[in-house]
Amino acid sequence: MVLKKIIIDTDPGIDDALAIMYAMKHPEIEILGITTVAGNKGLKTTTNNATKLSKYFGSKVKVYRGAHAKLDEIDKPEIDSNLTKDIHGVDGLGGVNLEKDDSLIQEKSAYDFILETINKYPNEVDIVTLGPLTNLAVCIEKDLETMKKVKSIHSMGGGVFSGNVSPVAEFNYWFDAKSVDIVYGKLGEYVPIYMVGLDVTRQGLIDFNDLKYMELVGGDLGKLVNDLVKDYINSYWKNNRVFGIVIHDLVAMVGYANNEIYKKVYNANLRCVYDSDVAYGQCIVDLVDSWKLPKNAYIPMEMDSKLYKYEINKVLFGESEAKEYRKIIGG
Amino acid sequence: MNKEKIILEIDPGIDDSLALISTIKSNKYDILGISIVSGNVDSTQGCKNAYKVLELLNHQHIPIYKGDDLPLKIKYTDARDTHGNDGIGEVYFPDKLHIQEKHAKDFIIETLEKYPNEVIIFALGPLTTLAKISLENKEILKKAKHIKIMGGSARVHGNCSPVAEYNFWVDPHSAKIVFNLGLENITLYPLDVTYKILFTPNMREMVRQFDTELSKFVYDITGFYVDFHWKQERTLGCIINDPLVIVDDLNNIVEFENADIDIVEEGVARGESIVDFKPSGKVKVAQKVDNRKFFEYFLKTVFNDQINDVELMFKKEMI
Repeated sequence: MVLKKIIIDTDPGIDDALAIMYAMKHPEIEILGITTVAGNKGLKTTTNNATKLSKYFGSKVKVYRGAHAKLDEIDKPEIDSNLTKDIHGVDGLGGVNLEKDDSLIQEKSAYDFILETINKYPNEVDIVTLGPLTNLAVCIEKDLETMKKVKSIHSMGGGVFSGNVSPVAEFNYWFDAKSVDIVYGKLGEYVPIYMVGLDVTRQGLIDFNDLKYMELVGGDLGKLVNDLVKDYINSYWKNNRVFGIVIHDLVAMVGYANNEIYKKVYNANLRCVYDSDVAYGQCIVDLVDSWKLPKNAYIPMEMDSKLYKYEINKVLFGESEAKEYRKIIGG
Repeated sequence: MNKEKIILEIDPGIDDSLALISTIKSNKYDILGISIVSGNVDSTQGCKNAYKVLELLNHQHIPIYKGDDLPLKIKYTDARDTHGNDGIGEVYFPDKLHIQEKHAKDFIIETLEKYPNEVIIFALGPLTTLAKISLENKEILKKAKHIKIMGGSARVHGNCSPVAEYNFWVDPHSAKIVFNLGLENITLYPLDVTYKILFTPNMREMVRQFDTELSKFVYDITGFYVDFHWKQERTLGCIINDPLVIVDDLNNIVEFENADIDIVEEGVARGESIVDFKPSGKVKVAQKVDNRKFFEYFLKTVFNDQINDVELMFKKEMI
C-alpha cells in the first residue's frame, strides 16, 4: 500500500487536535511533519500542543515552528503565547492534560521543512492546513516554483455564505487574510486547493448520540474525544442552541482522506478580502463565474454527514464499531 | 375545572420518579397519595426516593404510604442492577423517611370507598398491593375510575426473560390475581409501546444545559440507566417506561387493542403475560405510540420553564 504523504500545518486547538488524532490513526496516511502557526493560540502554545499529540499517540512525528503572527507582522518580535481562557481553554486543548515533548520541536523552520520536503518528494506531498495560511504564504514568497510541486492542499477556512468572527469572515482566514489571497491567487492555478469552509463543515455536527457512542465503544480514545470537546459544548449551546459540536478541522482531514464525503464540489475563483474593514477576511468565491477569472479553488458545499461520521468511527475505533454505529444511529 | 383525582402506585425507580415528576409538573392532577410497592427497590427505599422527588419539587404535602416489603408468595428480587443501588441511578441524596402510618393497602381501599368511580390508579410497579386489596375485598377495584398499569409484553420480547417483563415477573401471583378479576377499567401499557420511549443522549444533554435543580436531577438519575442499557442491550439511551402512562392519560398518544390477559405464575415462562387479543377483550392494551409526541409533551411538561428551547430543538430536529 502506498501511503499518502502529508504535512499538517496547524494551530492546535481542540479542532486541530481531533483532526491530527484522525490522521495519526489513519492507516493510509503518513505524516511527514507537523508545522505550527499562531492562530487559536500563540505559536508557543500551538507548538507545545502539537508535541503533546505526537507524544500521546507515540507517532514520533516532528514539529516545525512557523509564523508567530500574520504575514504583515511577522518581522515584529514574538509575543509570548496568550494564556487567556477562551473556547479552547487556557492551553488550547480544553484543559485536557497531555504531556508535551520538547525534543520533538526542530530547529529547522516550518518554511524550510516544507520546501525541502516538497523537493524531496515532488508532486507526492499533500498539505492539510488547519490554521491561518501564513506559513504557506511565506513558502510561496520564498519559492513559488517549489510550491507548485505540492500535490494538493486541503485547507480548513473561509466560507461562502457564512462566517463566525463576522457575518462574512471565518477565523482562520480572517486571522491572516492577505496570506489567504496569496495562497489561492499565486498557487491555486497550479495546485488543487480545497477550501473546506463553514458552509460544509457546519453540516458535520457531532451530536450527543455520537459522542456518547464514542465514549461507550471507544475506550481511552473515546474518552479523550469527549474530554477535549467538553468546554466547547457548553459554548455551542449558549451561542447557537445546538448541543454537540462542529469540529471544522476534522471535516477537512476526513475529506482529505476520503473525498467521497463531499457531495457537491465547485471549481471557482476565490479572493480573500484584506482591503476593507467591514468585509475583512471574507472569501469571495465566484461560484457562478461572473468575474471570468482563472479558477483557483475547489469548494465543497455539501457533505454526506453520515459517511463523515462513519469514517470517523472507522478510523478512530475500528470497522466493526463503525458498522454498529451505522446500525444504531443510521447512515 | 376540577383536577382529576389520582393515586400513584409506584416503586421509584428511575422511570417511576420521572412519572411522579410529570404528574406534579403537569398541574392537572389532584394527587391523593403516593403508595409505594416493593419493586425496583424495596418499599422503604422507594418511600425515601419518592420523598426526594417531593422535596425537589417542593410538594412535601403529598402523603406517602408504604406497602408490603415482599411479593405475595415468592422471594423478592429487586432491580438495583438497572436502577442503581438507591434506585435512582446511584445519585445519592440524603435519605429521609416521611411516611403515613396507614398502610398503602388501607389508604387505597379508603380512598376508593370515599370517591367511588372518581379515582385513577396509576400502577407503575408490581401489582402486590392491588392484589392484596382484592384478596380482602373482591369488588373494591371496580370502584376505581381507571387502573392504568405499566407491565407485561405482548408482541415483543420481555426484559427479565424472553417472555417476561419485570413488574409482572417479580410478583406474578399478584399480577395474575388482578387480571383474573375480569375488571373492565384496566388499561395496560406493555413493553410493546414503552420500548419506543428512548431517552437519548441528545435529549439528556439538552436537559443538562437547562441547568436547573430539576434538570440536574433528571440528568443525574438517568446517567446510570444509559450505561446499563448499553451494557445490557446495546441501546443508545435509556427506556423510560413509566411516564408514558401519565403522558398518554393527559394527551392520548397511544393506540389500543382489546384483549384478555392471564399471567404465568411459575416455571420457565414465569411472569409472562398471555395476551389474547380479541374485540371482546376487557383490557385495553397499548400497541402503538407516537414517540416523538411523547417526548414533546413529556419535555414540555417537565421543563415548562424552558418550553421555547424544547420547541426549538424539535424544530431543528436535534431531538
